[in-house]
Amino acid sequence: MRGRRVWLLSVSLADLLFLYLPIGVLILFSFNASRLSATWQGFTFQWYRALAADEALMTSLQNSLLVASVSTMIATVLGVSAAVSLERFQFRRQQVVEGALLLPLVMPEVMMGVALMLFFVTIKLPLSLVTVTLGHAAFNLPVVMVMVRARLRKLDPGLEEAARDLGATPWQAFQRVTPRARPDHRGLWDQASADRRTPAFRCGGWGEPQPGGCKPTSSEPSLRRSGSRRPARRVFCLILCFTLAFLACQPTPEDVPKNTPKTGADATSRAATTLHYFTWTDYVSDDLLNAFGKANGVKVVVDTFSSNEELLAKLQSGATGYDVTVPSDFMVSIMVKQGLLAELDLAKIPNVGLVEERLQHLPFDPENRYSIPYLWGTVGIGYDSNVIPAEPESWAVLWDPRYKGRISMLNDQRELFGAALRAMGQSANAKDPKIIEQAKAKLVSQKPLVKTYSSDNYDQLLVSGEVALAHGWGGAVARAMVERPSIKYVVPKEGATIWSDCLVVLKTSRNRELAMRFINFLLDRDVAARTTNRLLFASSNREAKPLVLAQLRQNPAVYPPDSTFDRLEWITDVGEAIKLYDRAWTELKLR
Amino acid sequence: MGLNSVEIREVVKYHGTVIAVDHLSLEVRRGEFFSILGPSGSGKTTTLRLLAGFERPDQGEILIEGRSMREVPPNLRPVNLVFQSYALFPHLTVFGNIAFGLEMQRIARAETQSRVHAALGMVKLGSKHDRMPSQLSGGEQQRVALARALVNRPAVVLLDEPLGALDQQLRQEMQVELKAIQEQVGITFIYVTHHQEEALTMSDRVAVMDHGRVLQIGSPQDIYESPVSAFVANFIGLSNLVEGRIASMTDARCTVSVPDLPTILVRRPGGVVEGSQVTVVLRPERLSLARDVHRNGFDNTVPARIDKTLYNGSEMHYLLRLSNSALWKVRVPNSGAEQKRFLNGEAVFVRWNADEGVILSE
Repeated sequence: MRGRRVWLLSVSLADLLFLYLPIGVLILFSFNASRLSATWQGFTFQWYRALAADEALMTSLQNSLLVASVSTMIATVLGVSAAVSLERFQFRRQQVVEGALLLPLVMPEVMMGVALMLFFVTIKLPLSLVTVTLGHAAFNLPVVMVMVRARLRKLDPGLEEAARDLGATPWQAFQRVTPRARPDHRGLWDQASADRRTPAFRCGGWGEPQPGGCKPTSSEPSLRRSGSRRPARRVFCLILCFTLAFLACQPTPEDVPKNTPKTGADATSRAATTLHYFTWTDYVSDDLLNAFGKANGVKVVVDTFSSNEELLAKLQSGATGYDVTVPSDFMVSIMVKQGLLAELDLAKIPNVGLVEERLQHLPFDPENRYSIPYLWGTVGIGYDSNVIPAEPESWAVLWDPRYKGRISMLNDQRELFGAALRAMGQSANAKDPKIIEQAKAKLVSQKPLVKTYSSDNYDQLLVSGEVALAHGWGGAVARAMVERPSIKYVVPKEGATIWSDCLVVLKTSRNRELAMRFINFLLDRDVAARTTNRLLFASSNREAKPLVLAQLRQNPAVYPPDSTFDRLEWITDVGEAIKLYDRAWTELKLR
Repeated sequence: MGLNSVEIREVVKYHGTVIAVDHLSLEVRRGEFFSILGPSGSGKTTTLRLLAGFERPDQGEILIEGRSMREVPPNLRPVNLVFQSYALFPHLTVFGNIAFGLEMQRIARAETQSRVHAALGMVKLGSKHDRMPSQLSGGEQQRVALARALVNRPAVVLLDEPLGALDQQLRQEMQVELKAIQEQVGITFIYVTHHQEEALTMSDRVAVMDHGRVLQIGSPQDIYESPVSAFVANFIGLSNLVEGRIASMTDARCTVSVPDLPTILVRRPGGVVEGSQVTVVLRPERLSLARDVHRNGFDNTVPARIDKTLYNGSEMHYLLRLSNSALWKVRVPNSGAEQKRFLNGEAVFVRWNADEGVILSE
């Protein structure tokens, strides 16, 4: 008997640990002085101090609270009505209605999310907090309904009748009796809102950054004297704070300390205008952005993407509010065709005259009507010369079974197919369905050898030695070289991509003039040289090159040597054939 | 306004395709304690819910205090219901529960206070006004439910088997008390029950219902002494039913011949003719038993044999087998240890006077 109790107790304890240990670790590490979550470097409150100063985080907290409370209100009103009508009345096709209302509970959330997004795009409702709120309300409605129904079912229907009998109108009876009358004297509303914290916590959102939303309890009747749940609330909100602090201490892509003190005057002036810059994951340099912001009395907000396709998809799905973005060459022509870009006012961008000769009059926009080259380079192979002593000449090395599991390929449709097409001796802009099919087959055959398809972190994988061969952009490989000198870069003999990411202004921009100024700023000689020194991508400004560090100027991964130019090829818009690529890409991914 | 507090005129109510109330007509007088007695499914609770307004009649009309209730919702009817489950609001105190109706009528606070306390006093719960319903015993909850109805001073209080959940002893106490309270306040009570003893003890009049129809309306005595049908006779209390034919009649009595039994003398009812087939009702407590055949002034004597005996403290229950192999029930009050008992298998004589038997008129 005693043994059994001890056993039950230990099982319960183990359960509790299993549930709460990770949260405990999270709380603990919110006091960690180190930026990395894995190592402990002493106790600090700095992240909590940083928390209050981090406007982005505070904005998302505000957004979360707003979304949570509004969507809860909608879901509660609709869910309770649905529950009451299903439980108290009988009507035809009741089961069908019930099933339809409950379906979202069993449907995968992703499906529902995609469906919602498509719906909003179809009805031309721009994705925003409004759509996030509506989406959450849709998710939460069945949850509310199920819980309220369960409570109603336990409730003596006589209570409502008694209230009616004693002179209450139907609404009074519902209001005064139904939600409150529970055997343990806890209100139905309270119960619903308590249980609903879980879904509200899941404020993933579409587009908006939403670190865990906490819904403060709603409408607790003040006459309740049981205070038993208040501590639970406090703990919950504390956990929320810890969570936010933890998020605050996560490394940002451009590992720049954020603890520069922000003065009140600064904050107000930056509030005046905001420039939204939508750029590649590894293209941001906070100090440069701050410099521009300070000089112009504006705030620059950065959002990132990691492939041209992602950029296009976001813009097509209705994301608005961005001013400046950086598509690659071929994507510029696609975006022009789709009418996404605003014409540039070159009078406001005098630095356009300093673009390298090789990058002038490019076929996709010869007169710089919509775009100006910004950073450029090649796509080749980064390899570890300790593992592969002889310089690989051909793309074929990426199909060499000796390096199985030590190869990373770009997670980028056109570049990935480009590598296969070139290995086959074809142009990366092939439009022949047969050839594209062959390229797909070639990539399928390569799949077992590939450790990962990544456009973001292959430089880290090269540094750590997890991969020995990486299909990648020169600049990223150059970054790996800094940390691991045995890394080298090659443009294979079959040829490779020359690319240029171009600064463009979006048609939806509300600050076009500021956007032009921003583009001119990024193209400025000194700014461009600093950008190249920091990001290790070559700048398009020919006057900047002499200011770039010598070892970068000579690094073939950063500045392509003249000898390679005759085998470099631009990726171009393949027109209708893109559908073949899309299908092949999907099939490849699904394998 | 007439004398009637409630009039039900030819009301029909279907539940789906099942008829719950079948052309029901009733009149309840002002200040009357009126019971509707019937087995479950007889339509008595539906009748109550029709009066309260939770159901609407498919046909017919209901008048309360002379006013048609056709378009009146439950909250505007001058009736209050005491629920079988009490339906006390679990989140309100005793005071809050009782004050609910007054609050809905926006009665001033001072008046609410005094009326609630008066109602609490009436049901003897004066000291428990601040308790929660879950802290009360079943009997106390019952009293709160009653006070919650009475405090509104309705024209009619409807009671739906209110004593059903109480134990036997408490139920008997409450019967007395309910009746006393009803007499004190003078409000019309309509009391639904399947328990014949409750109905007979408290009521001024009783309606016996079955299958949605009223079978008999009358004072408890009428119903008990002169049931109009075998169903009423049986439902109102244990009865022995004897079928036979009227062999001869005098002014006051008739002789009923029953196959394989001696002829039976019964008081003569109106409207029967010689030779007609009848049922005679014999109440078990009106029969007595003897070992010998001496008449001792009884009009009827029938031989039988004890089949079973059952002792329940206040009474002896005997089950007798008659010569025509019918089974009769006989109840003999327990008058002390001196009393002779009959044993299983013993041959006895059942005796009674002609006035104890009732010929059913159907």
